[in-house]
Amino acid sequence: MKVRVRLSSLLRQFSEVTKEPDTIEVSAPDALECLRVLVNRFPSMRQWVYDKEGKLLPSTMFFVNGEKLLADEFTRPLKDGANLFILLAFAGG
Amino acid sequence: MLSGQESSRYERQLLIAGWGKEGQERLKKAEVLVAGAGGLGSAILIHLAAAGVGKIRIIDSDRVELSNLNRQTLYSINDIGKEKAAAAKGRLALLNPDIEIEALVELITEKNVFDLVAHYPIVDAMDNLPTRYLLNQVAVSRQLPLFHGAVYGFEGSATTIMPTQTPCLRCLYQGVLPGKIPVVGVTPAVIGCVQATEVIKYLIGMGELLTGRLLVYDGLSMRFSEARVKKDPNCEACGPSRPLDVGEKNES
Repeated sequence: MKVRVRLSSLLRQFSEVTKEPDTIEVSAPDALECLRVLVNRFPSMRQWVYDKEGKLLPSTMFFVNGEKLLADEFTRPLKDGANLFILLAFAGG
Repeated sequence: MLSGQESSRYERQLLIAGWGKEGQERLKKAEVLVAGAGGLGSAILIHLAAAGVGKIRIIDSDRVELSNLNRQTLYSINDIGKEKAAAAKGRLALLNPDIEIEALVELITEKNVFDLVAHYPIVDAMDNLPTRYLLNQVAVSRQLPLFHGAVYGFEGSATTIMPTQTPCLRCLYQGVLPGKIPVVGVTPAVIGCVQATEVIKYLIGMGELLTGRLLVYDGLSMRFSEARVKKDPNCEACGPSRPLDVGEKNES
């Protein structure tokens, strides 16, 4: 499944994709797997999305075709050509 | 009724279609709570006061520090060491003496949050998730609107929560980035203005609110995007089982 992934500004920096194109094409069946593929490609992202045991950090948010996924939807199959946006939640004021 | 001075002060916004004297009087009668007088709070408070919101309750327990001044535009070097809530009140009173400002120097806790919020619409300008969750709990329990905004570096997000109708803050966030938050002043200025816009629209009854949508601002690529957000059926705060809904028992 080919998915077009857009990263938040913070993740873009660690993904080494700082310039255009602003989306990265990833082949993966679901959002969680997309992230795994990206982390393999850009290892410096790892500490921002996984804990030391490799568990997804609760600050990682997935949006598919403009809709936020609930936690039990992270492994929901994505359609070919889906748009995935990954954002790390923050609480600064 | 608006005084002659008020009609003059608000002349330009009275010209906005759908605003008028009636809208201005609604603002004048309105009361809102702004929780946090930091970066977001600075932008929110200046614009709510300037627009003529009749009563604003400010809650903040901190004192102004030099390192706040890159983003907390309510304050000047003369305010360093002063309580933020009190310094904010002083600044806003000079901006608009026709409105009432109440400054509460309080740390928001599980024990006092229900008393502090009372019946006010809540503007969430806090800098940490636990306190935001406390405000969310009161919003859900009392069905008060909650105008949420958050920032990190050049990124920001905002949404407007109407309990029962929209997802709540716990539906939205399961966790946030830890540690000291990097931020440049323009980011909370952008997001704080989004929040203030929502408050003004809500109080007057104009336009379409940012409900059920998360606005995401990326200052580095200068893009605003938005995503639909939905209620989490397992939400601990607003879901059917609501294990966190200790509600008014917390009131002291």
